[in-house]
Parts: sequence; structure tokens; C-alpha cells
Amino acid sequence: MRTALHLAILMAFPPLLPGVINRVKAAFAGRRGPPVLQLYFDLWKLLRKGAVYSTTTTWIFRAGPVVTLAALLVAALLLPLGGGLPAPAAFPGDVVLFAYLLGAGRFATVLAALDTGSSFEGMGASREVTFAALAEPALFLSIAGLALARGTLSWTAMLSGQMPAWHLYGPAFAMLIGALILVALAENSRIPFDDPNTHLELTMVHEVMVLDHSGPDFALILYGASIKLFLLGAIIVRLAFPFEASIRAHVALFLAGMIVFAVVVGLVESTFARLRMNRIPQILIAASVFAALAMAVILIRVNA
Amino acid sequence: MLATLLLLPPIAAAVSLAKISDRLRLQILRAAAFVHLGLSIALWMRPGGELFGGFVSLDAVGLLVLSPTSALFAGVSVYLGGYLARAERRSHRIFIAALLVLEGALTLACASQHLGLFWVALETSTLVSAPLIYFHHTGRALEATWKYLIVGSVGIALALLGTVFLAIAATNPSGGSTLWIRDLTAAGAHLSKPWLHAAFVLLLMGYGTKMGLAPMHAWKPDAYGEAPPPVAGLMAGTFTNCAFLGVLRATQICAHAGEAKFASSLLILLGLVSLAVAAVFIIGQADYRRLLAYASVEQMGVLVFGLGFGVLGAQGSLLHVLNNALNKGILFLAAGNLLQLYGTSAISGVAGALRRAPATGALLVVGLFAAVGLPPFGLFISEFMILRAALAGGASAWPAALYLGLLAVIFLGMCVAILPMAQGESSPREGPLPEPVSTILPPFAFAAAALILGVYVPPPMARLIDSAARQMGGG
Amino acid sequence: MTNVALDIALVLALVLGIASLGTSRLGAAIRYFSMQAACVAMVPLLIETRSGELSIHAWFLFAATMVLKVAGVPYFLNRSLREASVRTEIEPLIGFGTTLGIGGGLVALSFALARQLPLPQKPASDLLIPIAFSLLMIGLLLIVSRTKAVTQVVGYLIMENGIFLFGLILIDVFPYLIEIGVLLDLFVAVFVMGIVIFHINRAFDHIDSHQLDSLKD
Repeated sequence: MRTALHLAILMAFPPLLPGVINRVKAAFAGRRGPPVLQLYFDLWKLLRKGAVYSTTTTWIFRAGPVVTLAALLVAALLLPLGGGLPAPAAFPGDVVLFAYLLGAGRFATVLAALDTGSSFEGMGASREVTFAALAEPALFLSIAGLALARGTLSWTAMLSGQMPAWHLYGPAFAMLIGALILVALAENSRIPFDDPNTHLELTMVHEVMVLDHSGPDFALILYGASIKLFLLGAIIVRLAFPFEASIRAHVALFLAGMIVFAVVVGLVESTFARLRMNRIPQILIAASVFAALAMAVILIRVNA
Repeated sequence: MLATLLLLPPIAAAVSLAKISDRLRLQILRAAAFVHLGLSIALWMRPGGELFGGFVSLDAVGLLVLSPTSALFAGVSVYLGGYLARAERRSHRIFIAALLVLEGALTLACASQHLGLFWVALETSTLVSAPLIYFHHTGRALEATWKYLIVGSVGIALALLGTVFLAIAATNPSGGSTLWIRDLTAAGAHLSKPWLHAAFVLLLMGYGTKMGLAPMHAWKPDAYGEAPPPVAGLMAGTFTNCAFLGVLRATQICAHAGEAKFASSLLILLGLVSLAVAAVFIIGQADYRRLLAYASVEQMGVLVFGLGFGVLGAQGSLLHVLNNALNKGILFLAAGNLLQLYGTSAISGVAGALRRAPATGALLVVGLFAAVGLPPFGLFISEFMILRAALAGGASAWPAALYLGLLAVIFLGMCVAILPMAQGESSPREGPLPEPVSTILPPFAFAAAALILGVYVPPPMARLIDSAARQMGGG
Repeated sequence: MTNVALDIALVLALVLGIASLGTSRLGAAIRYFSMQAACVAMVPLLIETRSGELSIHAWFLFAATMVLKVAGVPYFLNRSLREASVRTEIEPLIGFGTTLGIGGGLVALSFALARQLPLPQKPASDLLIPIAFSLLMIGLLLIVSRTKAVTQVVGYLIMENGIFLFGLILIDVFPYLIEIGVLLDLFVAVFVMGIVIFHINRAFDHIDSHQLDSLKD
């Protein structure tokens, strides 16, 4: 029963997040904006369409979106949503698998983009991989910091139960949340790293890679992107709101937290400008440094 | 008496900031400097008591550093009459006031019995020297001032950190601590060793930057090369000695904590590095003011080198403090005359000084002989005492050998650079140059004093040096 | 029982130090310093909230730091910045990304160093010493890696903040008068540096300390 609830949240909730973000951005720009459920409509529409494939592409291009989504869904199974809802699959070391599954998903997307043989998509792929390589240390250092603080290498143990660690590691966790938000923004190609709305060749990072996909393939890509946002958001929300309650209240609390996360992302997108391409590495290095600082602070306390 | 000594310079500074003529300002400076000198001589006869709850009191070491400082200020105040008359016209309001504040700050540094107070005094002296260096308002002087400020500030910040570390090392079980010099020496072996080591390194680096020890000497050739020579002389002869006082105090505390070995190895190393750097840059130096700056790096090297050899070495170093001040007085004031007479600070631009400006030329030669440590002068005695101390320990003779070798190289380098300036040929049409008495008299007085110290150390001075040096021995 | 507010103030000071390594705008660097000084100013009060009694000494330190470092120093720096009409650090000696990386390394080193030097008395927070070391090193790094005179002054000030934190371990060892002396000296130092920056700008039309290179052997 609980697993079913867990899976239901996992499958059905993510596409809501981009809708919330868009509404926040629209409100800031003084527009009404698309409906909150727009992504669900889009997915439904795309799934009913046929796909067009370029003659230069091979099976790799077709496999790309499927593999990406599969990797993300498996990764999602490793993540608990709170005390009442442990991860369906949990074992020591699953945090590492989680990070690598995110990497595998990106790898499939990049391969599919390169398969088209277009120099345009190649450029996007190279940018995506460069920035991902810079975001990776920040993600791993954050995970390592958390692992140290909770003394475990499994998401379920790390993110569930009361978080007694806050009064001990407060400042460190604050820095971890900061670093993770930067990672989440970078991984999901949001402002200030990338602009999901723009289709200007010179500045695109992620969007450029998925331009050639159409129909159900594109639906899978959009759905996958929303799940990725959900995953990184869930870690941040669990860290920031380490509360436990009865299962019904808890689910409500968690979902509210996710909405807040989406609103924050929307606020960031509305108030920040997109960074110049050559400033992006610097911000990602800063995220890594903050994660490292958090780890240093945790290290001192763990051994004390 | 001590109170007058301390308060006189700042009060005179305040007066000289008022709207009065520059002539009057100079007279105020002279009056203050000479009263100051008189008072510090009087303190030799009758040691003053304590002031401000013991924060201020002149012990043997403090008096030894204060006396040459006071003498140099008096000499420079006379000298400035002739120098400023020939310098470009510009209000001397800030200049004179800064000089007086500098003297006050250095007096306070010599007399402080609390390391925090000592730091404040030394930092103040750093800041007021900035307008002194920038006196000529040239681009090069500005560059020198900036480097001096930023390097000096970082150095003094490290010294502050060292001071704090010393306090941490002295934490007693009840959580209190102290920065009183007498308490720190009394605490002796109770000081926390790792913090004491860190504190000593930081204090040595911090106050060593102020002294201009290599490798923290970067500001020195620039500042001495661009500041008006009398100011450079004051800095080289007084300011650096007071910074050395900080190193002395740190060494004293280390010795009392039974860590003399740790301290002396660092002191010897830094001394030799300074001597080596000075030797390298003195050879082939093209600018005589920068040459003198490196000569000052050398003297500072000798000071800390000597301090590394226990009581005997400390005796040599303390005598060297006096000689160094007098020597810098002769050389920089002579250099100031040359600069104004020849209008250049390039060694190649000065020739035949002995013929064209006999007094300045003679001073240059005397100053050179005194600086390289030729026998009848005091520097010979102090450098020889340090050498004897270096050989006395029964330990390795390498430091002494290096010390002697580097001194010989510096001897050659200085002679090769300065002798042609004094002798040399100048075209017969160039006549003698004017030399006002006020620019000649003070350096000659310093030369006479240096000569006297070379043949006869007055018994009270010997006693003072002895008792001060014994404080360095610990126990 | 750890002191969460104290931890937050300390870590915030550290984060602001790192941020000043990453920014190219001189105005932002000054602002970061000022905010950092405010965090540091709170520390003496937060240390003492643990024991319950707030001493006059702690209030004095708080007020003096607020007046001199948080308000006075940035005011003078901003003024010399306005005179100099220079806004950004364009060509640092070491790139911003690299400096950030080195800064992270230095912070790690500071945490390791703090472990080597155990305090004779347990401090109010085990973060105090490592973060004081970190600020010291970040300040030094700023001084050596930047070319603009204003940024170097900010580096010096950040270094001074670190030393201040060290000083707070033993709050009573410096008598008031000397504390005032230390703070005033710092203030006058910035004042004098500001004047020199002003003159550098007027004499050379830049405040690039790296271009001051006519004096050498």
C-alpha cells in the first residue's frame, strides 16, 4: 500500500513542477501564464503523435530517450520521500548508484544527440558534458557530507527519520542546501545556467540536444526532465524540512515542500539573469567549494 | 620624567599642526627632539619609574634602543634645516607633525611592557611613516609608499596574530591569560609549546618584515630609495631597531620557556639569508640609496644572527643596535647631501665628492668604513663579539664561517660602489659645491660617537648591555 | 551543547570570504567585507550568551567593530572607489575559478591546521579556530592574486577579521585602551591606504598596483 502510494507520487507528481515554475515566472512578468497542468496536456498530446526520424540516425537515437527515462526512474526508486515512505529499493551505497544513474541518463541523451551527426547538437552535447563534469564534484561532495553527518551510505537512512543533526550541523546543512540548489539548477538546465525557454543557438546548452526528437520520444524526454527536477528537489526538501508526521500529513507536507521548491526555482528564474557561458564554471566551482566547506565543518563535529 | 618623554612629541606634533610658519615648525621639532634627547640621557643616570599602571616603563633593553633613536632624531632635526631649505617648496605641516608622532610612537614602543601596547605603538609608527616616504610627491615615491603600506600592513598583521598566539600559549588553567612581558617570561615552561612555536614564527615574520629581514625586505629598497634620505636614515636607524625590540622580546620569552634552541635556529637562518640577499644585491647596485637600503638589510641580518647565540651573542647584538643607528645616521645624511648636490641617486652620476664637497666626501668615506666594520669603529667591535659568540658554543662552525664570508663579500661590494663616488675624477671645470653647516654637523657628530664606541664603551652602558643580554639567556 | 547562532555567524563569515574571492566587482567585495565584519562583530556577544551574562567588554567590542569596520572602513573604501571610477577587477593574476579552487584548498588546510593546534582551553565553538585560520588565508590569497589596490585592501581587512576571531578566544587579555588602539590603527591604516589609492589614481590614471613596477633591481 505504502509502496503503491510512493510510486504514485513518483510517477504522477513531477510534471506538476514545471507548471508551477512557469506560473511563478508568468506572475512575475505580469502575465497569467499557461495552466499549471500544461505539461500533462503536452505529454498526452505528444504521446498520441507519430515520430519523425532522420535517415542519418541509428537505433542509438531511438534508444536515447527510453534509456534516459529508465535510468531516472530507477534512480527515483532509491530515494525515500520521508519517514513513512522509505525508498522501494535501499541498500548501503545506493547513493553512489543514484549519482551514476543520473550520469547514465545524461550519457544516453548525449549519445542520441551526437548520433544525429549535426554539429549544432554536437556543440550542445559538449557544453552539457562540460558543465555536468563541473557539477558532479559538487553533487558528490554534498552526498559525502550528508553521508558523514548521518554515518550511512543509503538514501533511506540519510533522509528519513527525524533529523537530529540540524542543531549540530546547521550551518553545514545550510551550505549543503545552497550547493545542492546550484547543482539542481545546473542539472536541470535552469536559469542562471541555461534558459529552458530560449532556442537561440549560441546560448543553448541542454535544449539543443533534444531538438531532433519528436512525438512520444519527446514526451519521454520532457517527462524525464521533470522527474530529474523532482529527484534533486526531493533531496533538498527532505534536508530543509526534516519533519516527521503521520503518513497522510507527511505526504501533504512533503508535497507542499516540493511546491515551495518549485516556487523558489521560479523566483530564481524571474530575478536572475542568465550567466555568460564563461562564468558558469566559476559558479559550479563555488558550489563545490561550499559543499567542501560543509564537509569540513561536519568532519570537525563528527569526530568531536 | 618618563611621562614628559612620552607626551612631549605628540604635544609638539599637535602644536606644529597649527597655522604657524614652517620655520617655527622646524624650531619646534628641534626643541622637542633635543629635550627628548636630554631626557633620555637623564634616564641613564636615574631610571624612571612606572606609568599607567605599569604599562609603560623603561627596562634595560628599552633604554638601549631608545637612546640611539632619540639621538638620531635630534641629529636629523638639525640636518633638516639645511635639507628642507634646498628641497622644493611645499608645506611642511604634515611632514613635521608625522616626524614628531613617529618619535612619540617609537618612544612608546621602547617603553611598553605589554605586547599589545607594543604592537599598537609599532603599527602607529608604520602608518605615520607613509606621509614621510611620500614627501616628494613623485610617482616613484607613491609606488614605494604603496608597497611599504601593503607589505608593512600584512607584516604587522602577522605580528598581531603572533601576539594573540602568545596569549593563547599562556592560557592558565582558570582560562585567563596575559600579554605582560614580565608574566610571560615568568610563566616560562608553562606556556603551551605548539602555540609558542607558532607565535614565535609569526612574531619573527611580522616584526622581521618591519625590520626588513630577507625575504620580507621587498619594501625596503623601494622605500629607502624614494623617501627623503634623512627620513630613510631615521627609518633605518630607529624604526628597524624598535621592530628588532619586538623580536628581542619574543626571543626572551622563548628562552625563558626553555625553547631557546628553536628560536636561535630560526634567528640564525633568517640572519644568514638576509646577509646573503644583501650581498647579492649590493654587488653591482647602480643606485646608492638602494645600496644603503641593502646595507640596512645586512645590518638587520647581523642583529638577528647575533641574537641566535645566547647571552654572548645578545651582547653583541645590543651593542650593534647602537652602532647601526649611528652608522645609518652618517651614511643616509651624507647620501642626502650628495642627492642635493649632484641631483641624482645613480652611483655613476657621482664622482669626486672628496674634492668638490670635501666634508660630505669625508663623511661618505668614514661612513663606509664604519658600515663595513673596519677596526676603529664600533661596528667592528659588535660584529666581532657576535662572531666570537658564534664560535663559542662549541657547535658547528658553519654559521660563523658563512657569516664571515658574506660580510667579506659585502665589504668588497660596498667599497667598490662607494669609493669611486668619493674619489673618482670629475672634470676640472666643476667647482666646489656649497655645504651648509647644518647638513654637515650632525653626521660628523654621529661619526665621532661611532668612533668613541669603537674604542671605549662607557661602564654604565656596558652594565646595561650586560643586564639586558642576560634577560635573553632565560632562567 | 553547541551554539547554533554562533556557528551560523562564523560560517556566514567564511562564506562571505569565499564569495569575495569569486567576485570581480570591487563594490561587491567591499560589501562582502562589511557583511563579514558584521558577522564577526556578533561573535563576542554570541560567545557569551552561552554563559548567560553579557559583559560590557563584549558589548564594547561589538559596538567598536560595528562603527569602525562595518560602517567606517567601507565608507572610506567606497569613497576612494568613486574617485577612482574603477568598478571591476578585470585581469586578476590568477583567474577567479582558480582562486576559488585554491581558496577551498586553503580552507581545508586551515581545518587540518586547527587540528594540529589544540587549544589549552576548549573554545566556545570548535569552528572558531579553523574559520579564523581560513579568513587569514583567504585574505592573503586576495592580496597576492589581485591587482587592484582596493581589492588588496579588502584582502588585508579580511585577514584582520581572522585575527580578530583569534583574539576573541581570550577576550580579556587585551585591555580596553589597547583594543581601541588596535581598532583605530586598523581604521587609520585603511584611511591612509585610501588616500594613497586616491593619489595613485591621480598620478597614474589607474589603481592597478600590478602596474606599479618602475622600482626594481
